Amino acid sequence: MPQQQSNKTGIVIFAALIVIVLAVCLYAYVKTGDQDLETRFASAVGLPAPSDDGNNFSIFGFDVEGNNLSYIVILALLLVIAGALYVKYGK
Amino acid sequence: MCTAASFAIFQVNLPLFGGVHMNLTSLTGILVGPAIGGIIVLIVNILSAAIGHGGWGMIGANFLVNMAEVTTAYGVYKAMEKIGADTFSKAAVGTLVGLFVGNVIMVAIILISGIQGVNQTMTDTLYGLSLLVAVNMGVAIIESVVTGYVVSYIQRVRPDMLQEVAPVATTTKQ
Repeated sequence: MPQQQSNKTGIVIFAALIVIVLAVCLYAYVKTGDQDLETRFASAVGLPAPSDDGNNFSIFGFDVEGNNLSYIVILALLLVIAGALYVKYGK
Repeated sequence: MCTAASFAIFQVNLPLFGGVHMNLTSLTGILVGPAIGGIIVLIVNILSAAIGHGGWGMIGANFLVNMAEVTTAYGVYKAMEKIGADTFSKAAVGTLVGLFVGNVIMVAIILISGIQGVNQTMTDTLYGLSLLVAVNMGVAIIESVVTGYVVSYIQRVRPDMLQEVAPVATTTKQ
């Protein structure tokens, strides 16, 4: 019973934080408008808006920052290394 | 594994609030602690610079921000054990607070170091960055829920992964 009560404490704290953060976030979003991260940062610090290079591959609005080919190559290497380490030490 | 996951997620722009990304630094901190977590975020920052996401000159500042997130998330996660919160809440609140502290550190670094070629006052910069932080925290909600579920799942299937590991120095002395 005490465990169940303490579980609620954690969720209540999280819910309260979400309500506060969401309210502040929506206010800021309405205030600044629909901008990407770089444009929002540039306008926040007073820099000119960055130009869009337009070479990003996008699926349903999800796209990769930086060079797409390098991203795939480095990610593949990391996965191979992680897999090899798991096989050697993970069990 | 944490490095690969963090690197994979860090580069993906989400179509939310105009385009933002998650980074899983809090999850890294909760899973492996600040010491190994620091190495992981440094590697992720170097690899990110290598593919053109963030400049090489930004690695130090990005590392400070990410390290604050890793350490705070870990600290809050451990602190919430004292009130007996469940795993999801501990991880989610740790993530939310960790990302907020990371954003505050980011603002502090910019205000202290300044930006070349900018004419606006520090007050204007602080106001603009506060709005940026507020929007970023919207994504922190999503990341905190994701982290909460991931840590809860790991707690269920591999609870040993979340146990405190004795420092190497302690084990070798015995």
